[in-house]
Amino acid sequence: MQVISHTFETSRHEIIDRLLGYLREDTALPQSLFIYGSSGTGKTKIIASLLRQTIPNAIIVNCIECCSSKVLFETILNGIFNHKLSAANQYSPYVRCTNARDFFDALQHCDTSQSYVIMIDAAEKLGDMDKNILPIFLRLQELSDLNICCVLVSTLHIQMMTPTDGLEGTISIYWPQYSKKEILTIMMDKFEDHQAFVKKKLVSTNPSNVSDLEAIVDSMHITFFENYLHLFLNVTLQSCRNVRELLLTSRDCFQKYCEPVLNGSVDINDVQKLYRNIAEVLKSAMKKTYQSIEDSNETTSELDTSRMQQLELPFYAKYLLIAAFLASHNDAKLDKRLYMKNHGKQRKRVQDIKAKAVVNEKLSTQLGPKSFNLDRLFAIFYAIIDEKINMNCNLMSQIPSLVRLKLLTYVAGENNVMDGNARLQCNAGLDLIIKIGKSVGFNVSQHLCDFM
Amino acid sequence: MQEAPTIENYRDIDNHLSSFIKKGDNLAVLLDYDGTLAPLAEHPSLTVMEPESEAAIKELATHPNVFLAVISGRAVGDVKNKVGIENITYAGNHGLDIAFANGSMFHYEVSDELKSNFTKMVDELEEEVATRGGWVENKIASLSYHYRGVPEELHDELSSDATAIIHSYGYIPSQAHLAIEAKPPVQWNKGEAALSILKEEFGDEWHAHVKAVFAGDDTTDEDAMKALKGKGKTFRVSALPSIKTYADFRVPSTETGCFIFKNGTKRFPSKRKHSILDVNESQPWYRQYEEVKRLIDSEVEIIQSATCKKIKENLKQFVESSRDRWCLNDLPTAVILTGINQGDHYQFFNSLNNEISENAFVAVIQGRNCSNLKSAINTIICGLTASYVSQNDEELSTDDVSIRRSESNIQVLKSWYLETFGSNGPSLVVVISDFELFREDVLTELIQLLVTINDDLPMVLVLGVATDISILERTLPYYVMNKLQLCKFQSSPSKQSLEKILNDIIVSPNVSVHLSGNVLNFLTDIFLYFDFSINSFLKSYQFCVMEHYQQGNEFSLCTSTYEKCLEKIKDLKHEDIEEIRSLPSFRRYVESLTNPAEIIDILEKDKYFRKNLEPLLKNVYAYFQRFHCFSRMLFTMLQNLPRNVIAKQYRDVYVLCSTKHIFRNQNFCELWQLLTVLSKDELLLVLSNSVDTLNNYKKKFCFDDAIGKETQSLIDEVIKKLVHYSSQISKAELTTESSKRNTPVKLGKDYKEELKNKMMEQASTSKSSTDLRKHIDITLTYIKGQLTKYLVPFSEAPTLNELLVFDDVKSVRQHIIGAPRAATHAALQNPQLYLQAFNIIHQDDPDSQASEVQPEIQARFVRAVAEMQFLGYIKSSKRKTDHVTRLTW
Repeated sequence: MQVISHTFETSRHEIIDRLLGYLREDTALPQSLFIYGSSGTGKTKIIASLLRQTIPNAIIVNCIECCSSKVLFETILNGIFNHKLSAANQYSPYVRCTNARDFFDALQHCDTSQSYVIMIDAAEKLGDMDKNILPIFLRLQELSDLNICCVLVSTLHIQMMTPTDGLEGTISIYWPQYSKKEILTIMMDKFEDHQAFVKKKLVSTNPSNVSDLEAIVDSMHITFFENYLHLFLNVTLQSCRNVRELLLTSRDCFQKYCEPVLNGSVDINDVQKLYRNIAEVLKSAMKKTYQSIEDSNETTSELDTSRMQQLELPFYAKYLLIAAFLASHNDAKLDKRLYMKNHGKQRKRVQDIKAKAVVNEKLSTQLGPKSFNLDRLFAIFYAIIDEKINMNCNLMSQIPSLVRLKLLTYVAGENNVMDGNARLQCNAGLDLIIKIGKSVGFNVSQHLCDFM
Repeated sequence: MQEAPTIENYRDIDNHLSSFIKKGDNLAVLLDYDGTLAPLAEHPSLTVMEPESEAAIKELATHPNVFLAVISGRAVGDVKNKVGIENITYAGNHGLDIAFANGSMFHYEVSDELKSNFTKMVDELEEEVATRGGWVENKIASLSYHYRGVPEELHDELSSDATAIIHSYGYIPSQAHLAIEAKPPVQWNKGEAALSILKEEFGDEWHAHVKAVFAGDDTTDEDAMKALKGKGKTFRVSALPSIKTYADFRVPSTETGCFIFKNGTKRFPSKRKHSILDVNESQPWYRQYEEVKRLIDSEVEIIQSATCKKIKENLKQFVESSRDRWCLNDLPTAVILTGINQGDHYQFFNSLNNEISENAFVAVIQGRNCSNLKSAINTIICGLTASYVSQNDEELSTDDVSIRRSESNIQVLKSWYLETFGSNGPSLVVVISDFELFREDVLTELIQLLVTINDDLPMVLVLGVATDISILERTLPYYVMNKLQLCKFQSSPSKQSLEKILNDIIVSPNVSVHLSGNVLNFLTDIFLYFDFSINSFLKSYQFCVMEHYQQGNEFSLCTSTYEKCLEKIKDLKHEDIEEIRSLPSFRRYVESLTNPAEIIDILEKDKYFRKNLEPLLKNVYAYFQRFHCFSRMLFTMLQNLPRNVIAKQYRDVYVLCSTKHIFRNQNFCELWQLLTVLSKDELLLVLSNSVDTLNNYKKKFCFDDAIGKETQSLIDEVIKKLVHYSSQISKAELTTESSKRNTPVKLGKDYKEELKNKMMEQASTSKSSTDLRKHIDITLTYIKGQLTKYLVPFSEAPTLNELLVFDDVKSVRQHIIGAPRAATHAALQNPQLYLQAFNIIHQDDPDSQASEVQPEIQARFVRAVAEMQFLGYIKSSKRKTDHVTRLTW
């Protein structure tokens, strides 16, 4: 037991002791355990290795991999009877089991003297399966007459999942978040990885005096890293506690942190100066903790960057998109005023003036898109485009292709586009539309009733 | 009379007639002309047979087992001229006159009284009703009064007048298509005529020897159908499905009729067995087209694979390095920004399988195959195992990795992988080729799943994203996104790929069919304005090429090189040569000849013509070679000029030069002026660039044949000149500098002398600068001369340019751009029925005059609505039983 506790050097002893108290091979197992806690806190890892070491008949299943109850049952049975899928048995399961009845029939053949533990990871998925699946696993011992226990590991509390009755025998355990100290200890372990990353970056950026710089990196003391982590966690922990993301972000930041040291501009022990260097980086890192998008530089450098628009669309598709945006964000009543040449004089009324004094949240561009029909879309399209173009199939087919690109969506009548009942709305934002408008020389804000 | 079964296609006729016509039977085919062989036209003299009908008819006429007769309401001579086939039987005036194939004639004798009445009747009709667009067609024994051109509101009035007049002279009026026909009051009609023809040809017991087939479209043809009822098979051409007829079958239109005849001939035993397509395959133009098409396809493939090569290599590197990444077990994900046309990229993704690596297996999935998670998993597993099999096909057959589709799940994949490769095997690459087309929930679950199994198996995910990378964040939830390790790749924009294809294939000198400026503009406009799709662009281009060759066998002379073209000359037949002779540019050439004997020789003697063809072809091929060469040079010269809007791409220059004399184009002349005011350095750069272009051209496109050598020497000469001029220009600059150096800059004592010196100096510099100007002028004039000489627009290109240039924008537009409005228009205009139906709806909407509706109108209305609904123009709105919505624009 000591060994296990030690592998997770963080202060999870309490919870591990508790689990060990429940899961002992030689005693009667509890009906079921329900362990919940947020992701990235080591639930699965700890419980899985704990089970593997204490219980000989431990079956570990991940619900995400089992998209249907059939697969779930079969996987569990394969585990219980130690059946390995192979070419020899044509990858067929130990026994085919389409429903719960088949499952229990198969369980009859178990050795009753043995005790079994089934760990079901991502158990929140069970709630989405058939209604009876979750109760079955919560009361498996009672239903099968075996010394069997289900350990459900989930990120959701059991109350959040659909069938909430029949939970009497279930012991639910909350898996706590890591404290700052624990995170620090975990991350301290990754010092070598961080070093390796810095070295890798060195090789790719500055090949001339790699060996010298690598020596500097190698000579870094763990306290240097600890100082860095203190700084890092002080800033980032406000927004993120997921160890996985923290590690990713810290890796990039550490490389930045080391730069002045490698340059020789700052002494390795001058924590204050180093902090001043890294403060900005950390702040920006906080904003994009999980967007780690790497660019394959080779391709981008080759192409002319000015040519690389984010989104290139054919000329008329651009106009169609603009027209769709206008149709979504303008009142249909205003169309006449906006797009017709002789729209007549508008009389000012007190009401209008009052309405003009709208506060920001009444702006229709911020209220979200409204739906419009195809006729209106084309009417606006023809009004804003200067050229004369025929209504032909190529033009019509732009609409489905814009829908496919998710720039437009059908709100209603998707199946009867032909009779003009279909209503669409534009998903593109104002920024994108203004950008597109600029590229074709069309002033979008002039045609929006908000800005008039 | 009754309704007849409809014949829509060949299968129908096979079903109906297989029992009637047997192998080796003799067949008598009797046909009406107007409305059956040829579609109706505004005026009888304007009717022409469809080319297919004509071909089919000719084939029938020459067939030994088939007897062919045309029975028409026209005069015999008229119908003979229209059909234009000798040695078949013609019956005119509804059978009153018959001209047999053997030359004998038959006239039905009418009484003298009727004959004299006839002329009077013609006169009166001419006077009374032949106004406001109506006219009388005199067919000697009978006549027709046509009121097609008369305004619709007068139809009833005029036709009833005409009927009355005809009655008054003792003739029998009968209704035809917007015409009244007057026949003598005799018991003789098309039916009698048909029978008499058959008796004359095959004897009284004709129906024992021969199977008769008759087709017609008119009420007058009903007589023949009635007469042949039970003895032969008859067809009525009519668009109305409910028409009452004596005929055995109804054919909806003349096209179908032709189709039936054409395929009908196929079943005759002694006939050569080929359809229209077989004929084409053996013809020279088709062979040439195939060759050109293959060439283009292969070149396109080369270009496309070259553009994809870079990104493929990067991707390969990414996949290979994905294993030794950092400690965290994130799913390595490559995001490829493909640009909006996913259709163009399926091929790219599918080819990844071979390209990425030997050490990885690839499964490509598309949104349309993955409506739920289970099917997505199935597709992935099948893809991966198939990829495994295809890479090891020597040792393995598919049975070895037989994972049943119904059985496949992730557990199976895991155990298969671990069993086959152990824990450290090749990467498994899952390619999601169209991110936007997936359902969001499926995508989320799928990627979550891939992340999970990434713990055990080395997975790599490749996403094809059409819009931009922010769609990932909008689609995938946080708990999925944070487990992906993203790397962005950008595929080359489709505009760039198009330019490459244009420059290297479509407007290159190697291509055989040279597109005219209009066509090229049209095609690129579709691309730029409408769809951005390379695939559809290439399809349209292929259509142009096909259209070009389809014009005739003489177009097989259109090849990529002169040498190949010469081989084709011997395949030309007499008709092809006649076609060439009728080309406008050839006409001009003949007119320019002075020797009358030569003209006669070239127009009459094919052998002489063939001999003469070679120099002409050489000339025109050389023209195109030089045209491409100099337009490329011109493009290099203009490319970097400031304020250049008309020649940004090479294709712009190409279009400019091919449509008009460039020096007559005002925009171009303005641009040319800019060249003259360039500084010396800039001009020298322009010149050296042009020389480079010429050299490149020489290396790339001038082959070792007669034309190639000629062009080479021409290019060499131009290069020599250009080098010479540029050296002179640079020298001129040197003299300026040296004169500057010599001038004293110190202030002298004598002011006057100083001034004088300065004047001298100025004079010398200005002289040297004029010297430079002069050189520049000479150079540019030389270039201009060369350009005007060789950049002649296609329309004025040497003789026979029609064979190499495709300039039929109209047909391309018609075929490529679908216009629903126009189609609806045509559909509504052509069969009068639909217009009528619309009128009825408009006028007789039951709601508007609900008080009293005549039952006939009500019935017609209901039928018209039902028909239009059937045709898809309107649809029930479900609001009230009789409310409909329109479906067309």
